[in-house]
Amino acid sequence: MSFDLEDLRRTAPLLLLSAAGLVLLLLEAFSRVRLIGRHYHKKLPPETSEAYAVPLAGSRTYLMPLTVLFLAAALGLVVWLWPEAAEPHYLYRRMLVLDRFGLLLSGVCITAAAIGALGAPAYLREQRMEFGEYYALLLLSLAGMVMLVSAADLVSLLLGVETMSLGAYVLTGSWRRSPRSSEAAMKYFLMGAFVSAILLYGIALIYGSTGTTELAEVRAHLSEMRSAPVFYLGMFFLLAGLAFKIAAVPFHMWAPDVYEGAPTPVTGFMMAAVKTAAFGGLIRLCVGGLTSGRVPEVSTGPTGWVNVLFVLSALSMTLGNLAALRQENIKRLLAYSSIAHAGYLLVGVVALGVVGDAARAPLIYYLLGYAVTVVGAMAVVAALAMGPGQERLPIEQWAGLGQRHPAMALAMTLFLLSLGGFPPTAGFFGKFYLFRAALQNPSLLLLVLLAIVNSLVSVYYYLRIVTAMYFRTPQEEEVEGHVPAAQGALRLAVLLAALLVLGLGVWPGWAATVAEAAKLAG
Amino acid sequence: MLPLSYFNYYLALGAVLFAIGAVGVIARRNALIALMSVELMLNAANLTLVVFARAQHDMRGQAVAFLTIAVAAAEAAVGLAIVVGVFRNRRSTQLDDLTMMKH
Amino acid sequence: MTVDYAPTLVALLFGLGFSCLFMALAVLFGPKRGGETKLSPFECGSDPIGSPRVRFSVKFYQVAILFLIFDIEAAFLYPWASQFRRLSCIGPMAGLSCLGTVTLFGFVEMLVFLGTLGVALAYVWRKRAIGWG
Repeated sequence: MSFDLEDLRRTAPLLLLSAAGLVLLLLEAFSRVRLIGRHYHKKLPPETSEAYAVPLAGSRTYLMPLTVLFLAAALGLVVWLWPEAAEPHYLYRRMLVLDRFGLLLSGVCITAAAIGALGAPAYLREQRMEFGEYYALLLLSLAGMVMLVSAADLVSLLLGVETMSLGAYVLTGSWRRSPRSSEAAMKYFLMGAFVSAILLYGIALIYGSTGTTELAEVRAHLSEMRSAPVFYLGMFFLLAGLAFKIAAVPFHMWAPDVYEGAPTPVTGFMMAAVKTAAFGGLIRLCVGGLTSGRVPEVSTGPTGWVNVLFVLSALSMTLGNLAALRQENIKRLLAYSSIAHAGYLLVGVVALGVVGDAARAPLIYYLLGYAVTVVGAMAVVAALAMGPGQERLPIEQWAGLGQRHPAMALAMTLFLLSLGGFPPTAGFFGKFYLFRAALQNPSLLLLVLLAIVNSLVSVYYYLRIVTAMYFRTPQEEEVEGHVPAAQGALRLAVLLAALLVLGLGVWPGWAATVAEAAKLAG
Repeated sequence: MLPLSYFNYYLALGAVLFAIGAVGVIARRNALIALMSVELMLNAANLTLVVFARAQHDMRGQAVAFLTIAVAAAEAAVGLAIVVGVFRNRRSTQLDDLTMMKH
Repeated sequence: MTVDYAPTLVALLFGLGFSCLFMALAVLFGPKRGGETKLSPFECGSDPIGSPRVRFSVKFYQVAILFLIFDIEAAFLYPWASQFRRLSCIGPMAGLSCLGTVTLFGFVEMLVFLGTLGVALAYVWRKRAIGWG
């Protein structure tokens, strides 16, 4: 049995994240709890419900910096492995692969998680839901994502999805005193587990029809599959499973409720990192396992995955945008916008199947831009919470923020413009590159036109928030004496995200070059 | 090697179990029963994997089944914890009661 | 071939013999004081006669689910054990003996696995999730 110790070195980010998760779990369990309840107790407004008036249990303030340190180290390892990954290396008997595509998407997930983690303690403390497992779960979920985006086998794909999701389920329900949070966790979990079973059954069917679970082998065996109906059923099941994780219509039912009910930093983490990783897995599956020049009908045939994703893409962006138009709750609005963005991103995956590798770099750029934008937007929502259990969610409460919190309003405007696709932000160039790449094949003209119309429609609801912040006067006075929890770290998170969004928009060249270099193995 | 038709019975059993589980998740309104149905689906998929592995004289499917058992256990643990969390907040495990967030 | 199974047979006989011996000793010399408390069901909690649809404390569920997880992880020891020699050998194998270099790899691998489980156990222990306290 040949086992290369080099494999360990080449999966250093994954190993570091897993080990760091375990270390944080132990620290959480064995460190002394410092009581700081009274300090925050004074700030409670009188009408706060009894449930929130419980003195805060404890705080381990070093957990967040330690987490960010681990994440920075993981990012460092990603950079360290970058030169070596120019050529793909298959690891652990071809279960995982080290290539630049996987590394870059790992980097995106880690960055999004780091920005989210920076902002988390202030929010968690304000909402009295501090619990140390938060960071451990974050890191373990992230380890699952890294595994998912470097999967070279359907088995590691499944394990990555599971590790990522199990962490996300618990994080969603981590606000234990909030019925909304536990309700969201329940919905997410039940549907997620249902989809995991579908994913596994899909893997079983693919295994049965091609005789292997390894993506490259699946591709090689496409021409000699034993039973085409079994294979296509398996493929549809796999696509449905991953479509659920990226929240594409019609597998999106969970997303609005889960994104609304989850604690805000967790929502940001899920919108950015879970979506990026799931797209990474989808691209690995479709391009690495289901695209073969010898058997083109698997990808571009009438029942090929390109057509399936084409339909999902059109449905996601249209229905997501239409539903977002009616939303009054900002988290719900961004949830539907996230469904619409899954639709735009699917245009990129469809383009990967039709025009080939030229669509890869734009797709990666879009993912990067979208991830930093939503993480930033959610950090602003977290920063503007008005006290325990009182988040600033209805859009009318955003009126007049331009005067009251000018910096936060400015940052939010930037993120919303990026989501709407205005220059000079990451969102604009993301859409521009992506649609331009897709237009290389005229058969995608209709889809791209639909995407452009949808982007224009979406501008309406993004700008509604901006106009509320700058051109409307607040209806009622805010609770006097309450200072938003925006401490240094949360402000830093917003600033970092804003700088990245602007930087990607003003100098899109460097990110495009990096994305161009991020080649897929195989 | 046994004829493939022999395996078809097992594959059909797997498919039927999977369908029963899927209907259970969609139709039953109790969270715990939905959870059990998910476990049934996972086990049906496992059975299918093992049958294919045996039919192809390949150990890979059985190794995957092994991993799936661990995944299913982890899912059951997390799922039950979430059900308990919901029950603590609202004294019910009926899925129809989960209507806090409707637009 | 028969010789290979002889130690197993001896161990079996020893086990049977000792258990019979101790049971016989207990019957012969042990004090016998019956009573209602001693005859009532114990260990697994509930009365064996009655409706099965009684509510259990959530503590049962907690211990059960933790047991389930650790129990299933233990199942991974079997495939590892069957491949242990192969995992620890660099080079060709002849039957079960390694012709190349023997390394600690298989051993360390399992230590890492058990260490991860150990972390989980330590966490559970520290959080007082096991036990009735």
